[in-house]
Parts: sequence; C-alpha cells; structure tokens
Amino acid sequence: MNQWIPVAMVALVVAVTIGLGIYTTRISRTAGDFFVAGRTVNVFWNASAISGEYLSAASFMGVAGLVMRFGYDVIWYPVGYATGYLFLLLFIAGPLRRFGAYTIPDFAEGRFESRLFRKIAVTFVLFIGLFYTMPQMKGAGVAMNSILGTPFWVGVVLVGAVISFNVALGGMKGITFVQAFQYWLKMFAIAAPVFVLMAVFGTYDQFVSRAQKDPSGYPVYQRDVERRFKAGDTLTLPAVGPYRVLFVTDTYLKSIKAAQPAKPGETSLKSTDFVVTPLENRTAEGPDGPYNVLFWGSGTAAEFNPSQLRPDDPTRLTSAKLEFDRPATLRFLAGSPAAGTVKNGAWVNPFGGLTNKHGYPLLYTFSLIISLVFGTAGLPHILVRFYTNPDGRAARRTTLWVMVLIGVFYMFPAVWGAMGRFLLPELYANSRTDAVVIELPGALGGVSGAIWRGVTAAGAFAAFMSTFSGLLVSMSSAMAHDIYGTILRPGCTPEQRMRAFKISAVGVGALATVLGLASESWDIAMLVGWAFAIAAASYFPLLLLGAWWRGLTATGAATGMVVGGLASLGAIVATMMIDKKVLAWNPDPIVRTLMEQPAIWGVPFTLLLMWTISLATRSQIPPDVDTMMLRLHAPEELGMSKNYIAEG
Amino acid sequence: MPPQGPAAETPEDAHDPSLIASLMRQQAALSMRVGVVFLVLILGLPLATHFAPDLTQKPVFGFPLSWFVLGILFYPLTWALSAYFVNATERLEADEAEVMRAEQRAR
Repeated sequence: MNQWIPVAMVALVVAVTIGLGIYTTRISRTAGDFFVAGRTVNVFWNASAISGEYLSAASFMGVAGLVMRFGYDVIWYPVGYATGYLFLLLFIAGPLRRFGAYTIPDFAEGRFESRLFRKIAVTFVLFIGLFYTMPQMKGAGVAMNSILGTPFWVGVVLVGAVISFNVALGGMKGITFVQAFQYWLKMFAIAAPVFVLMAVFGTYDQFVSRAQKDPSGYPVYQRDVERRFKAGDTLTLPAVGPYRVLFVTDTYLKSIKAAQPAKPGETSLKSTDFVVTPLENRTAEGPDGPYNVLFWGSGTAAEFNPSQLRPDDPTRLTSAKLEFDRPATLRFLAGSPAAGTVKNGAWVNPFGGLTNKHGYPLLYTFSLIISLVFGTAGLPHILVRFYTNPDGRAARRTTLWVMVLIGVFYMFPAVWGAMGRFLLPELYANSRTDAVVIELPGALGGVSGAIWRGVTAAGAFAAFMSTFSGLLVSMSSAMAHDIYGTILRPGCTPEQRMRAFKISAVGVGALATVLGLASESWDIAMLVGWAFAIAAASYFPLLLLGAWWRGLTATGAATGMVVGGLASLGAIVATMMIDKKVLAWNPDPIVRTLMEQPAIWGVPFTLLLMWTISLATRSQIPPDVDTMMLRLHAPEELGMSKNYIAEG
Repeated sequence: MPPQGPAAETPEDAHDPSLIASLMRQQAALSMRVGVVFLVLILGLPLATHFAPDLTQKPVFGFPLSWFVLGILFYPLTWALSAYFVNATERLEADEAEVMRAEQRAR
C-alpha cells in the first residue's frame, strides 16, 4: 500500500496544475495576457512565479545529488544560481522592464533598430530554451521511473502533454499562478522533510563535521545493500578495509586489479593479493576460445582488504577494481565502507574532485562562478518575466524577493547531500546520487517514510512542470511574436498573434517531448552548462552594454554575441568530445580547464568584441539613442517610459 | 536637446540629455559599487580557502568555516546587498525626479 502514497501525491500535483490551467483561461484573454500577463503581476506573485520557474529539476534533485557526490565544490552551483540575480538586479532588471517589450529579441531590434539582430537573438532564445528543456524532460522520465516503475517515456510524455496544454490555454498569465503555487510546493518539499530527517538522524552540522573529523575515512553502509552488475561492469572498492561482500549469485570475474596501476619500480598486484576467501580459477568459453575467469559460488562471502602497492611504504594503499565477466548480484554487508565515492576529506574540503580535476582548482572555481553569476543574468526565459512587472521599480523589488525566495531554497540541497552521504551511501555504487531527494525520506520507514517520499516526489514534479512551462512560454513567444508576428507577417493583429502563440505552444511542446524522449542516454548536465555558457557570453553582455552604453551599435552587439557565444560553446563541445574520446587531443591542463569552464575568458572576450566593433561602426548609433536611454533609465513618475509594445 | 522638432511636445524632448546622462552615471556608479563588493566577497572566498586552508577549516556552529560561509552565510549577505541597492537606487531616482520637475517648472 505504501508505494501508492507517492503515486497519489504526484497525481494530485499534476491534477492541480491542470485545474489551475483551466481556471486561468477565464482570466487570460488578450495577447498582452498571453505574452506578458497584462503587465499587472504584483511583486509577491511575480517573485513566487519567477522562483517557481527558476527552481528546475537540476535545482531540486540535481544539486543535492551533486553535493552528495562531489561535496563542497558543488555548493558553488546553488550559490551562483541564487546570487546571479544580484547582477540582474544591479544592471538589467529596471531598464529592461522600462523598455516594455514582449520578448528579449524585441529589445535587440528596438534598441538598435536592426531587423537582422532580432533574427539572431531569436535563434539564441530557441537554442538556450531547448538545451534547458531536455534536462527537465529527462528528470521527469527518471523520477517517474523511480517512483512508479513506469518506462522512461511515460514521465516525459505526461509532463510534455500537461504543460503544452496549460501554456496553450493560458499563456504567460495562466502559468504565472501555476508557477507561484509550484514554488511554494517545492519550498515545502525540499525543507520540511529535512527537519523531520534531522530530528531522527542528527543535525546538518553533525553530518558535515563527521566528514571533517575523519578525513581519510569513507561513509559506511547502514544496512546490507544488494546490487546487480552487468557483464563488463567494473566496481572500484574503497582504499580502506575490510570490505565484506556476499555473492548472491554465481559470480565470474574477468579480473581483479589495483585501481591505481603500479608506477615504475613498484610491484604490480595480482588478483590473489586482495582476496582472503575461497576463489577458484575456471575456464569459460569466449568468442576466441577458452579463457580464465575468477569464480565464487553463490552464497560464499569474501573480504577484500586494500593492499600495499609498495611494501616499504605502508601509506601507499590501493583499492581493488573488479571487472565482471557475467551478470552477477552482490550484497555489500552493513559496516563496509561505501564504494564509488571519494574520501571524506576530499568531499568536505574545498578543491576536491570537481574543481581540482585538471590541477587548477582556483582557476576552475573562478570561471565556474563567473559562468553561473553572469549566465543567470542572461537566461532569456528568466529575463522575459521582467516584462510582466507593472514598472521598473516593481521589477527591482521583484528581483530582491526572488533572491530571498530562491536563497532560502538553495540552502537545503546541500543538507540533503550531506545527509545522503552518510545515510544512503549505497547510491554511490551505481551513480544514482541524483535520486537522493526522492529516496532518502524512505529511511524514515513505514507510512511516514512513504508520505515524505511522496512529498519530495510531488516537489520534483512541480519542478519539471514549472520550469518547462516557463521555457515553453519563452519559446512560444519567440515563435509567435518574433518569427510569425514580426518577421513573417509584420501587420498581423494581436488576435492572430495569440492564435500563433497557441499553435506554437503545442508545436514546440511536441518537439520538446520528442527531444526529451531522445535524452535518456545523454549527458544532460552538459546541456544546462551549455545554456549557461551561451547566456553568460551572449545575452548578458548584450543587455549590460545595451542598457548602459549609448555607443553600442547593432553590428558590434551582434558580432560580439554570435562570435563570443559560439566561442564559449565551441570550447565546451570540444571538451565533451575529448571526454568521450571522439576528439584525440590532449591539451595542457590549464587549457583544458579554460575550455571546460570558458566564462572567465568568454565574457570579457564578448564585451571586448562588442566594444571595439561598436567603436569602429560608430556611424550606426541610432539618432534617437538619447530618447532610448531616457526611457530605459528615467524614473516612472516622470512619465517618460513608454512601452515598446503598448497593446495589452 | 534633439535639434529637430519645433517644440517640446513629447516628454522625452522636454529634458536636457545631460540630466539623464548624469542620472545614468550616478546609477551606474551605485550598481558598480555594490557589484564590486559582491565580486570581492565571492571571489575572495576561494582565495581564502586556497591560501589560508587552516583558517577556513576552523569550526563555526559545528561546520567548517568554508562550508558555513558558502552553504549558509552567503545568501543573507546577498540579500543585504540587494536591499541596500534597491533602497539607494529608489532614493537616487526620487532625487533626480525632483531635479527634473524643478527644471520643468522653471521653463
């Protein structure tokens, strides 16, 4: 019965989302409602809705999972996601709202009086939107699978269909209320279970300091953990012992090796060096004839102890790496150190596995910070929401409240990560740390465990749905307003544009669902990284200079955006190709760091391009640039701001 | 003032561009001041953990200092910076609006 509680709670969230969507069709009538919610959303609703849209699957499940996996370094992600709004507030929120358009490409065209620039800007909106959509879709498929056991496609299609329906029905105004509701649901779902778990298992600081006090130790399995392996899988055991395993099935290993290969002058280890319990060599039939495998019968137990790689240096312990020849099931016995994770010290201290992987942790950290902070200030689906404020002053107050709402939220994923490390270390073994938010409440046991699992599962669904609805509005606006209403049919009526919005919502929703279905095996975290890198090196410089420097020209801005954005994207794609060994190139570690985290050179590079090219094309500065600047910056009370698009 | 146009018909034309330029300068200076404080804080933390690792491992409320600052303290810090900025910028705009209205009356 217990497994139906989470299902019921997810169903409830989906039903409420659909219900709110239908309800809001009554209040969402004009084109202005659809594109910018009639510009009448007050600070509380708007701050809740922006926060609801921003806190995606990556924030709700992914950050906790990454903190659990890599530790301290990952906390830069939530900090960057949250504090990026400060730059939005300082330089962009007020002027952008005062400009009074529908979409970000409107700003590109209106500020510079360049039609070509709108086309470029629209392309970037659609690309960033699709990169950002796929993780939401994948999250939906994976979460649905872990709660209900349904195939991957069910969650994707469910979220895709529900949200396309809602957006087509109610547009921006419709989703504003849904997203605001979903923010408060997510806030409750990430925070409330933490306090319950802390009351039972110990406080946040106890978990963190436990890691700090035992830097060379590992978390320990709280109970027996069973895991299945496929032929060809490998398992690296931790470098502390003893590691106790029960072989549930007959187990054939191709090899047991030292996880770190011996350096010149060191003795390399043999399989028997690790093993203390019965093990026999058998022959098996392979494609090239018989070969030797290592064998344990089902029901036997083994204890693996780390071996010294060099007998005269007792600190040089190494762990064993097992390679499976056939499918097998192993049970890791309670009390064994967890496999698949780093030592506590590398987890809890700065410059651990994430930022130190190429040996330049400080550079990596700096570039990561810049990418997150400036990327946040350049995400089009977030920026477009600023047009829904009544005026520039409200836009700034909204941003301030968004920082409070998401800041409180972002304190919690790290708590989940720290608790998950010690309470649920079995997630390390199959790289399933992403599921920690869904799985950990189960540790409470019984009905209360099931209810809290239901709460986090419902929160996860709220996350996929609210972020996807925001992305879908921004992409539908780009299609209906920028491509159809401005480029293809400039003279069309607001009603025609509204109809185009509805058609686009269904069309783009279907496209996103199809891409989501294809995303099951993709390295999804990469796509969000792409979105941030492009946003940081394209939209952020455009809006910063566009709002503050009257000398910026269309040619300068467009060149900077395209060349700078593509340079950053190219660097990241090349990194990924090196990782996947598609590209046989082994650059210097410092170059490698700069390619993987390009923001530290990418953002200044774009700014520099925009600046120099604008100076060279000074004659293109629009003649009414002073009027433009007045509109962007003059206080509302003087009555000088005029919406770029007045209707609605 | 734009040279074209016989009379000040729209409110935009009614103002000296130098006034808006001065408002923008003051606003930009304020934004940059807050932005620089923020960048010094956020980029200073990794520097501190890199060059003074012993200091940043000192326990604070049961956490290592580095964890406490990044995982908890940073959020309220940015709220304070934002609240300061929002108030300061609104004061600045109110002052500027006053000057502009005075100029309008003087015509």
